[in-house]
Amino acid sequence: MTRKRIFFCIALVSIMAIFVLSGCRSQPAVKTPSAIAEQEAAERAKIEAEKRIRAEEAQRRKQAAEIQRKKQIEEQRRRIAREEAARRAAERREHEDREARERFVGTDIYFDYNESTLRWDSQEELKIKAEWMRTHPDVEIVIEGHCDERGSAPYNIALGERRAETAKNFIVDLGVEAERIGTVSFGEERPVDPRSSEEAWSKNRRAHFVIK
Amino acid sequence: MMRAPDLKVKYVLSIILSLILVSVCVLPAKAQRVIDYIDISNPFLRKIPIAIPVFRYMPETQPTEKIAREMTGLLSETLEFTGFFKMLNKKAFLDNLQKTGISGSSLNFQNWTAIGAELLITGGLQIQNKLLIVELRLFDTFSGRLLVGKKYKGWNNDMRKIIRRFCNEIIERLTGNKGFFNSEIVFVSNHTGNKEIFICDFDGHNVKQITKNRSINLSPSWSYDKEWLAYTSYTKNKPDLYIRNMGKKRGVYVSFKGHNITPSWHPSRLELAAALSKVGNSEIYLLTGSGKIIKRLTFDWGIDVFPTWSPDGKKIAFVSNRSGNAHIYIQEIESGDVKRLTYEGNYNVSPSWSPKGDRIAFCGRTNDRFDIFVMNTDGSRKMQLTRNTKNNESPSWSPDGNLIVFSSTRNGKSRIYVMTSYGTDQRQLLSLPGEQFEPSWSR
Repeated sequence: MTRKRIFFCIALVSIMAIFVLSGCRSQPAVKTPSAIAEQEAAERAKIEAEKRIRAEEAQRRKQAAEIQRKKQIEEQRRRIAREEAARRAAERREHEDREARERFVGTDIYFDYNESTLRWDSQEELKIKAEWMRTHPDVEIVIEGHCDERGSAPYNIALGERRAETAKNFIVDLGVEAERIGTVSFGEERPVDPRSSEEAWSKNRRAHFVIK
Repeated sequence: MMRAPDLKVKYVLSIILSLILVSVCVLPAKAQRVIDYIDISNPFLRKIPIAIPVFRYMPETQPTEKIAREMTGLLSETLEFTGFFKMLNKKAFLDNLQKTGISGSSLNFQNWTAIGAELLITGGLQIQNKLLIVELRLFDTFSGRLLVGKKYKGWNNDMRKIIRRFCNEIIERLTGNKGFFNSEIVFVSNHTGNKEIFICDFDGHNVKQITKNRSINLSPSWSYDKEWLAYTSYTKNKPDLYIRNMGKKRGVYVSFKGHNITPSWHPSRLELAAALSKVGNSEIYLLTGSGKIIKRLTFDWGIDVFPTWSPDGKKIAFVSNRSGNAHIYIQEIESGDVKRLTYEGNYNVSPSWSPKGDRIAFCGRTNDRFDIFVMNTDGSRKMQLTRNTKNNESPSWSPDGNLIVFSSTRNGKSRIYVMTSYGTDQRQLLSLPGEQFEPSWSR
């Protein structure tokens, strides 16, 4: 009987303890007001501290993010700058290329009256044109030969042809394939300056380059 | 015995005598036919005074009179064009065909010789139901002899044809050569905005546009039968030759690499010479009428261009700068022998061989001015025909070799002019806007 009873008592006590303990939880211990205030202050401080820590952490995180963002921006900026530079370089090359191409078609070479021989300045310009053709191996051109209005129109067709051929031969001698260059003569029929003056005539005696 | 030889001698003598008598009778008549009227070796030395009074007209109505006057004027203009005649002023005439009639029996030739006429043309116009019946007579006023008498019938728009036909008869009678009044002149004009090819009658009438391609068209040339025209055209953006049939309005291109220019038809065959630069250098080739190469004629490094044929078709004169400057050469087609003709100046181009065969006209530059010259076919007797009249280019002979058509900028713009082969009577042929170039006279 005693064992049973001891057993029964322990169980009862533990059950009661459990109840008491749980009861304790929901029931705050009674304290004094200063203790309560202290406890509250401590708790507030703890909360503040935690808050501060959290804030600092957030701050740190924000700073880190900020740094990261700035780094990214910086990288982006650098990348944009590189691209910009590359683009400008490409543009400049394109521009130079376009200028070179415009010069190729826009700068005629000129001849003396009744002559189809090349002057020194014409030879220099032809060297530039030959160089351009060498660096643009896919380009095919036609050289037009022209004369001023004086003299017989049919004879001027023959003379214009001579001028175009002379210019072509010079460029071919500088290493450009002959098959890339065609020639045609317009004689005196297509002047750039229709007036009848020395100035106009010298502008009309020309070989003109056209890209096919 | 004396008798037999005597008879024989008498027999022979009488035959000889009769032959002499016959020839005396026949020869002067023939000689008179050629020598009396126009000296074809120099027809412009003295113009023959000719009177052309207003045609007699029947019925005597105002419209008939108007047509009579028109025909008279046309006849006078057409003959005056040749440069052979001095047209006497109608105001000086003593007689009137309405009163005197038109046939030799009724005319008083003294009234015509009195005013200085050596030749007289009388015309009679009769209009029946709008049909024109025209009688035309050419008289030698000193002898009263009828030289040419013709009768024609036609409608109002046949007027020009009738007059031209009669003029052809007159010229043939007076010079022994055919008249050129059915010939045409082809030329270039830019008044439409582009250089296009045009044709007109020998006197500038009836201008017709031949090309309408709005490109650049140059250097037209007639075939001997007037059936074909050849010219340079840029319709494919390069100087090609186009050989065009006038009647059927179709043609072929000669479109070799380089330039295809200055075509010139053979004087009696459908072949032409032209300058092609297909070998990289301007050379002269002989082509068929359909543009196929028969053979290459020149073989030098210079520019060879501007062929023109001798009337017998055996030689060409052409321009070459093989000497360093543009000069005129003659080459025989068969043998290929070449001879240089010009040595003066440094720019002699545009040669044209006279249909008479004896002279070559060309354009020569002196001190930046261009003038027309003629010379013999050996280069001698060079004569300058234009002077101090700015630039004169592209000479071309009339079919009888007596006149030359050419272009001149004497009045500022380039226009077509005609002159005699001696450089006299220079006058403008056409009045068109824009400028005209490169005339070429057909047969």
